[in-house]
Order: sequence, then structure tokens, then C-alpha cells
Amino acid sequence: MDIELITTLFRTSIRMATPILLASLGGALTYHAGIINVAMEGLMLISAFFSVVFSYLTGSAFYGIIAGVVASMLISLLYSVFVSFLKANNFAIGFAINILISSLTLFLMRVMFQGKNAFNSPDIASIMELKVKTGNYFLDNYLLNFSILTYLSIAIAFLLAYIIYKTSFGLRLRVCGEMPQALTAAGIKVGVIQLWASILCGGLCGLAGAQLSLYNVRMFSRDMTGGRGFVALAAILISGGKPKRVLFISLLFGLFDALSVKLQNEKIAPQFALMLPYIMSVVVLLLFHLKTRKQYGKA
Amino acid sequence: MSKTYPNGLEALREVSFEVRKGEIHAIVGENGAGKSTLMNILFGLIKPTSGEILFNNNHFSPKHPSEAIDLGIGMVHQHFKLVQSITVAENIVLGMENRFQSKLRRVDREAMNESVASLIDRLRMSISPDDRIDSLPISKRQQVEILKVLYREADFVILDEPTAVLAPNEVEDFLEFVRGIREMGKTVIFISHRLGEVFSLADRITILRRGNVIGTFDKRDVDRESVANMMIGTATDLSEDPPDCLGNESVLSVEGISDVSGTIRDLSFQLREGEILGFAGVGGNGQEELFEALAGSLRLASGDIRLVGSSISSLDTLERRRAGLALITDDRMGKGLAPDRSIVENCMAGHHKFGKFGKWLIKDTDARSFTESIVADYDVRCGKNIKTAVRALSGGNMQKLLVGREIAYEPVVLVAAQPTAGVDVAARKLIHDSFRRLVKTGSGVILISGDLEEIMGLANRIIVLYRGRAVTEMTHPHYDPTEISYYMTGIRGAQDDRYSHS
Repeated sequence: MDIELITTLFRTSIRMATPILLASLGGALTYHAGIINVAMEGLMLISAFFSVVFSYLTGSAFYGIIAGVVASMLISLLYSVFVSFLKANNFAIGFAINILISSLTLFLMRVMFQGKNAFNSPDIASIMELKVKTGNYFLDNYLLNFSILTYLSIAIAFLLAYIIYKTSFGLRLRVCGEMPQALTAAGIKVGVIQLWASILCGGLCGLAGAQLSLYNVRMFSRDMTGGRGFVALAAILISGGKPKRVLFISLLFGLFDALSVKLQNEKIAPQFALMLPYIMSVVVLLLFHLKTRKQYGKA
Repeated sequence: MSKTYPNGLEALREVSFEVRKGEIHAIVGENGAGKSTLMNILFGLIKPTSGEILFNNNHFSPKHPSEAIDLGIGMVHQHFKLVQSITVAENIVLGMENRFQSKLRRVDREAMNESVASLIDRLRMSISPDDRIDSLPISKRQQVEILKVLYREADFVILDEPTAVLAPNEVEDFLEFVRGIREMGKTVIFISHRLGEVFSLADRITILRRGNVIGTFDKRDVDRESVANMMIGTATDLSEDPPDCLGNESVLSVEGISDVSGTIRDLSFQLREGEILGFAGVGGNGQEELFEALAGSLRLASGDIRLVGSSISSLDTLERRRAGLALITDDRMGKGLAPDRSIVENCMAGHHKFGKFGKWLIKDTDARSFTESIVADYDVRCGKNIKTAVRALSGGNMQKLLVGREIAYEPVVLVAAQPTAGVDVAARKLIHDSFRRLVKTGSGVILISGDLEEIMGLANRIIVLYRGRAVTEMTHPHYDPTEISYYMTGIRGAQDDRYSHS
């Protein structure tokens, strides 16, 4: 295998892993707060849409990202109000939001841009890269020149590890998921903690959506998240919501994504290549499940 | 103070008592005497129907536990509210841990651990603030619960049956610990029905029986025997007599059973045809485990159970039912019935496995007529609509439905746990009559009940359980309620129990 192929594969993996990482970090927060967030798919999609719209209108990727994050946070707020305060079933609300946003973005796109199933334009500003040329092949290709959100997401992973395991908020967050009665007994409102977790999750899913539509492809197409919200959910469940593990698992899923992209150009049926990341998610989920079950067996 | 629950259960009837500052005040009474209701009212978890509380001479009617906590009242519940995966200190400080945050919002573990450690030292306990809850034994977890209360500087501590979860050898340490709390100048309410502990610990004792306060006594003025009498009530009405249809053949024989956790120990008995065998005891002395052992949901460490000669120890619950066992659980809402399903479905449940309504598909007309016969025979009041969800029925009607369904198996042996708990007098009579009819056909009944009157009026023989052992056995008509109450509370027959827990 030549070095160019490995480099491409690596860079594609990182590119593909970034949105999954961001979304799963957000989902990890609600996971610790006791909510399995199935709405991440919709949150990413709404952000992907508004990121493209505002990036196109303002010509600035920064405003695009902000718009995407705000949209995603608003939807997340709605989700949290239903789940934490009105005590609705989080799966039902999550799927309702996913379906709603899938149709809403399609509708808005058709109304605003007369597009059919996709919208792209040279006026959509792409997210900046950390553009540095050092001349060193390894540094240039393996460490530098990625989307700034990639660097941000890695920093966020470490930041969340600190917040979840070292701060007072993190302690309450973990107790909230494990034994909400203990929190109530201590005079803290469970719903408020869950609300904060959901809003932060919305913000991170917003970043994930922006990375997807303003960097990975620079366009908006119908249902472009393509199940990444659920891949992120798988990453959370496998990692038990631990941010550093989430980082690792997301990279793994990014690699499968990259392989899938690569294989589509080879002599393999493209349909099969497209299936690869999802098949691998199921396989990884299964392997980790078997491992945890073994541990329980010993205990 | 009075409390009548919405379902008509009178838990407390105009009870009055007072607690003095700095004393250990024991509240004793049987299960269902109203102890927990009373304490939950004090802590703001339940609203009383009438009556008032004075706390430090101020009117006090808490609507939420937080109001009680603010006044310095702390309660240690029988069921712990601890988070398993975090440390002792984190559990104790939870809700106040933001005091230990640095500018970077990092919780200063050392400062937090230190503040908890100083409390632990003052109480001379041996817990490390850094231990995780899931690595601690039950007795230490309980101490953590108490530390939670003391850390918030509660001056009035309610301990709800704290020793129920402890092994016998842990009890003495715990009592010493409670004395330590009193030395700190705090007031303690100690709820228990183990008179040994009560007498070793309490300054004063309030006795509750069936929602009434019998009285509050200084410990020096009473002895265990008189408290046991007042608690269980020896003026029992013996208007009912056990049925008289004893046969000679043994239908059920239990030989030296012990369970894995050691809650029941080396229990043996025989049940003859046509006999009702009563198990008396204060709750938590192995009754539930005995029921589960017979039902097949508890793993036995040793011993054998034989139903009409053949061993059923290795059978699961369904197989035991096929062999001729029927079971009335004490948890009708959780285990006995499916509250959200209809009466028909609840009646069929279990019976459908016996092919009563067709081999593959359920024949609606058969199921319906089967249900209707149960509803009619047991006077289940459901407004003629057997499609009603069971949840809509009153407690008494639910219980009659459950009893009816189980007796419809025509069992060789019926095991009934608390069959008349929380039901009215008429339903109670009906259920008792159905047991009498059942034994006339030669079946045997195991009656596990916390209601001594019920057992004495129905059982041909009584075995008293104390800490998982059969401490005595009496045969009708030689019942002596006073004697039984001594055995139930461990005054008699329990000399060896401190050493037998291994």
C-alpha cells in the first residue's frame, strides 16, 4: 500500500469522525443525565440546514456555524421540556423530532431555494482549515490542515472529561442518571440538570451538523445526516459516555466511513461499500456487549 | 394526628405523643401499626387528614421534605437512597459540594473528604470517605445514610427500622453508634419492633397498635413482656375456630431448608391433609423467604421440599403449580395481578397454561364463563364488567379476585401470604371461609400472616418464626397469645441467635 493511500484514508477518517465525535460528546452529557438521546439525528440535520443557509446568505462560515448551533439548541430545548418536565417518553419525542426535522428541512429547502433534493452553491462558505505548510509531509498531512472544528472537538472531549468527572455540575449530572431520587433528596431539581445537559448536547450536535454540511460536503441534501446520529448513539453506549473513550470510538467509526468512501471507487458493489460503516457499528456494538456481559458474569 | 388513606384505610386514629429534646425515643408496633405513616407525616412526605405538630413550640406542617430538612429534621429511610458509583464523601456532600469548588470549578476532593472525615472521626466510625458505595457492606451503607443526615446538621433524627437490614452481629455496633448520636445532643426517633434493641437503647417508648397510641412509657417503668403485650394485643377476639377436618396423610413436608443468604435457617415442618398451618411472626423474620422458597423463586442452600411424597425442590414455579401448588402472594399489585390488564385476563393468567380454554387458541366464551364464576363466587365487585382493568378495583376486591383465581386451581397445597392485608371485614370473612372450604376437600393450607388474630382463628397449628427460625410450635386449642407475642419479639426462644449467623 502506498503512503498516499494511507494518508487519504487517514484524512478522510478524521473528517468523517469529527461530526460523530461532536454529536456523541453532546449525547454523552444527556446519557449521564439519564436520557438516551435519540434526537441527535434531527439536531444534526437542522443545524446542517441552517449552517448552509446562513453561510450562503452571509458568506461567512462562522455565522453559518452559529446559526446551526442556535437552531439545534432550540430544538434540544424543546426536546428537554417534553422529556424532563412533561415526562414524555424520550424515544417517542426523539423520533417525532427526527421525522419533523427531516420533513421541515426538505420543505424549507424547496421553498427557499427551489432545489429538489439538494442545495449547493459556490457561495456557501466552507469552514476554515488550520492552514499551515511546514514542508514536513507527516506534520502537514497528519496533524495540520484539518477543519478547525476537528481541533475544537478534540479539545471539547478533554474539557468534558474534566467537567463530568471533576466538577460539581458533573457530579450532579452523573447522580441524575444513576439515582435521581438521591438528587431530589439533596434538594436539587433533576429537571434543571437534564435541561442543561440537553442544551449543551444541542450545541454540540449543532457543531456536528455544521461540520457535516460546511466542511465534509459543502452542500445540504435531503436527510444528509444519514443515520450518523444513531452511529453517535452507538458510540456513546459502547463507551459508557466516557469522553475519552468516545473520542476513540468515534475515530474508529470515522475509519469505517473512510473505508466505505474508498471502497466505492473500487470493484465492490457501491451499495455494499455504503453499508460498511453501519455493519461495522452493529459488529462493534455486539463485541462490546459480549465483553460487558462476560464481565458481569465474573462479578 | 389522624390519617385516613384515600382507599379508606385508617392508618392513624387520633394519635398523640411527644418527644423530648436529647432523648432516644423508640416507637414500636407491628407491621401496619402506623409507624411509617406517622414518620412520613413528620418528614413531610404524607399530609395528615387532621391533627397538628408542634416542633420547638412552633406550629409545623411540612408539605415537602425540604421544609423538614430546613428545620433540622433528618430521616434515614429503610430503603437507602445512595448512589452506587460515587464515593462516600460525594454521597454525603451531594447538594452542597459546590462549596468545595475552586475557581476552575474543580471540586476540591481533599477539602471535601476532610470535612467528611472530621465528622466520621467525631462519631468514631471506620469508613473512609474515598470508598465507593458499591464496595461497602450494607451496614456501612446505612452509616453513610445517617452521615448524610448528620452532615446537614440535623438535630432531630428519625431512624426507620434501621436494624432490619443488619446481621445480628452488626446490631450491637449500630446501637452504640446511635448512642453516640445522642451524646452529640441530638434527638433520635428509633423505629423498631425488636424489643431487645429497643430496651437496650431507648429512653422512652411509644407503643402503636393498629393506628392507636397505646401509650408512651419511660423505659424504667415497663418491662419487655408488658410492652410485647401492648404491642401485639393479647386481648384477641377468638370468636373464630379453626376448621376440624384433619386427615392423617402428609401433603407437604419441608425438611431442613435454609436459603443462600441465611435468612431462613434449618426450617422443617409437615402439613397434613385438611390442615391449616399458620406461620406467625413480626415482619422480616423470614416469612417472605419462606413463601419464596415454597413458590420456587428462592435458591435453597440445603434441605428438601416434598409435595405428597415427591420432591419439588428442583422444580420451577410453573412446574410446582402443575404438581398441585397454588400461591397467594402478599404483593397483589406487583406479583399477584397485572393491574393494567382486565379482570378476564387476570383470571385466565396461569390457568391458560393448563389448557382450560383450548389447546392453542383461547376460547373467549370459556374464559369469560370461567371468570364470571370466580367473580360471582368471590363477590368481586366490578359493576358486572369483567373487562375492567384490575387497577380500578378496590384493594379488597383485588384480593378476592386473586384468592379466587388461586383456589380455582383446586390445589393440593395452598400457600397464602398475608391473604387479608388491607382488606375490610367482609372480604376477610369471605377469604377465610374459602380457605375453610378448601381444606374440607383434603387440601392443606400454609397461612403466613402478620395478623395473629387471623392465624389463631384459622390455623390448626401455629409455628412462630423469629430471625428465620421456627422458635416454637403450638396446637389448637392450646394457643396463648401472650406466649406467642414473647416468641415473636424474641423475648423467648432466641437465646442462640447471636452466634448462629455465619
